Amino acid sequence: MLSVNELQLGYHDGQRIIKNLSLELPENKVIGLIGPNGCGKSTLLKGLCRLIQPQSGSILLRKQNMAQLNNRQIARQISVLPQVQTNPEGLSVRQLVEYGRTPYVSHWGKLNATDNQIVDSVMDEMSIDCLADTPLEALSGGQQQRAWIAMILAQDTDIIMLDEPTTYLDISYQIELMRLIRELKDKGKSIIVVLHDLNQAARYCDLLVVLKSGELQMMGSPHEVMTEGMLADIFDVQAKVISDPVAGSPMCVYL
Amino acid sequence: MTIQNKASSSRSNSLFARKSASRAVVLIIVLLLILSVSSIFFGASELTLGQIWQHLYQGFSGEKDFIVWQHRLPRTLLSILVGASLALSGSLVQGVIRNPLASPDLMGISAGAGFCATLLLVMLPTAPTWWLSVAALLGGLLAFCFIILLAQISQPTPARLALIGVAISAFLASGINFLLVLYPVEINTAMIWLTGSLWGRSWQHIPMLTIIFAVLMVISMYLAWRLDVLGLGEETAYHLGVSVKPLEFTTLLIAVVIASLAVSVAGTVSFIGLLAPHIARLLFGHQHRILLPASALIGAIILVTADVLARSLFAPIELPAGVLTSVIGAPYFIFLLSRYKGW
Repeated sequence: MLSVNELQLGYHDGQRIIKNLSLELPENKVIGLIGPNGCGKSTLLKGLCRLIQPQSGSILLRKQNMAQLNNRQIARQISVLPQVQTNPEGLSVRQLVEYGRTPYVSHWGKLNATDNQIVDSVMDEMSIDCLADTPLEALSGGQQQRAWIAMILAQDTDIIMLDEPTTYLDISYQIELMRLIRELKDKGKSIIVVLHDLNQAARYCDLLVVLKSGELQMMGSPHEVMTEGMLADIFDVQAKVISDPVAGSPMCVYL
Repeated sequence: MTIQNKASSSRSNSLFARKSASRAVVLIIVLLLILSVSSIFFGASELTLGQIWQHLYQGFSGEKDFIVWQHRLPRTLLSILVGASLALSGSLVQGVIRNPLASPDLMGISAGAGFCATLLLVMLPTAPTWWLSVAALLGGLLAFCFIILLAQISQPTPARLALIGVAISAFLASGINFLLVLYPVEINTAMIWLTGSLWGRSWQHIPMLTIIFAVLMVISMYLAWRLDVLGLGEETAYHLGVSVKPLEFTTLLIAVVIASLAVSVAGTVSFIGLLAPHIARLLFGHQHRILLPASALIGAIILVTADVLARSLFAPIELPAGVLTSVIGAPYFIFLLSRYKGW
């Protein structure tokens, strides 16, 4: 799906946050980016969706060099849920979800029947159809997140990227979100998600990419990656890895 | 410029729901028409409604005709155009910077246009009138480049950006004063023009301003829904396929051009660019498709009203309309600052 070749990323000249990174991300998987603070996982995500341009190296999106695609072409293939969302004053839930159709609308911004149908169905799917006319600022954090995800779904892309989507949510919403991510994967989407909680990553991801100091350390299934050695080397913690009694995935318990 | 609209979060929805918005627009147009007609017969020389009617529908002759056709009517049309232009400029600037304190005059654009136009007035008093527009445009663009440069360097919060604008305005105002002291003979026309007066303007500016306003309004309407998406933040807009930087640049350029031209015609009429978009947002909500034309209409209403009051309050002495807009606008600006929490 995405192949990264000798990628260097940074926010200004001389700054190297991602250093000479090469990796191949497969289709139709939930891919978790993990690593300690400052390892460059959010920066890598920004690079993968071309929010920041590579200093050198390249990213191929389905064999096309992303540098040669225009914004709309990318927006029809990749949607991104930002870590911090701006909720414009007075914007209703439905209006927000309609913005998801931006990469498809005509030059004058009119939605056609198909657009409206898609907006209706994703709002239904996210059970926010009853909130259609409610202004965003009147919603709880969890409901706002749902509205934003509905917008991302209205964008109808094969690839969905999420930057620490669970960080500011109550635990019940975190679980709801991670389950939703699995459902989306089952519907054929490819998901790339930056996660802070290692157990969450191990339980819900198919593939984990471990970064430290801007370099790729490990990549593999949770069983391959979540080891006591990795936790000591990368995260500098002493932990025991046991089997999650419910899901069977590896789970770390700190000593 | 990653600045978010943090102020005025207490208001939740517009006064008019989406469906009644078109009715409200019609109401506002009617109000503007009534004000415009009354603007034609208020002033130093009394005219009755009957006389105006007669003049509009029958032959044109005599002194009253001269007043209506060479003075009152162009003046009213200019008030409409200038008010609408400044308001359009303000709503575009606020749309891009997502800063409730932003407007062409508070960002120094009006002062820049005023400075260069004054420079021209005192240095080359015999220059053809259209030079004034070019000078104002250059001044506006110059001030705009300056503020963009400062914003790039210091990444300011909305309040700081407003302060930078106030500082630039003050700097340019001192430049204007310097010119006025240096050229005391040419001072009179410049003074009247600088305080934002619609006195003594005839038809000469109207075709130019009408055409440019119409063209820029159409382009703005074309950009309108992109500005709505930009309200979600630059990053999200980018992820939705909007070309953020070109959009911001084009929008601000339109705002600078239309504000500078308005200044070149009527001088620095303050606070309309701030006030009108706020009123429009309160009445019609945040969608630029409605907000932009509504702001323009409200800006026109404000300036026509201010000009009528300026002419009739102390008749036969005429105040510049800009004095009146400042009297309303400055307290409102202080009110906005006091509610503003994002320092």
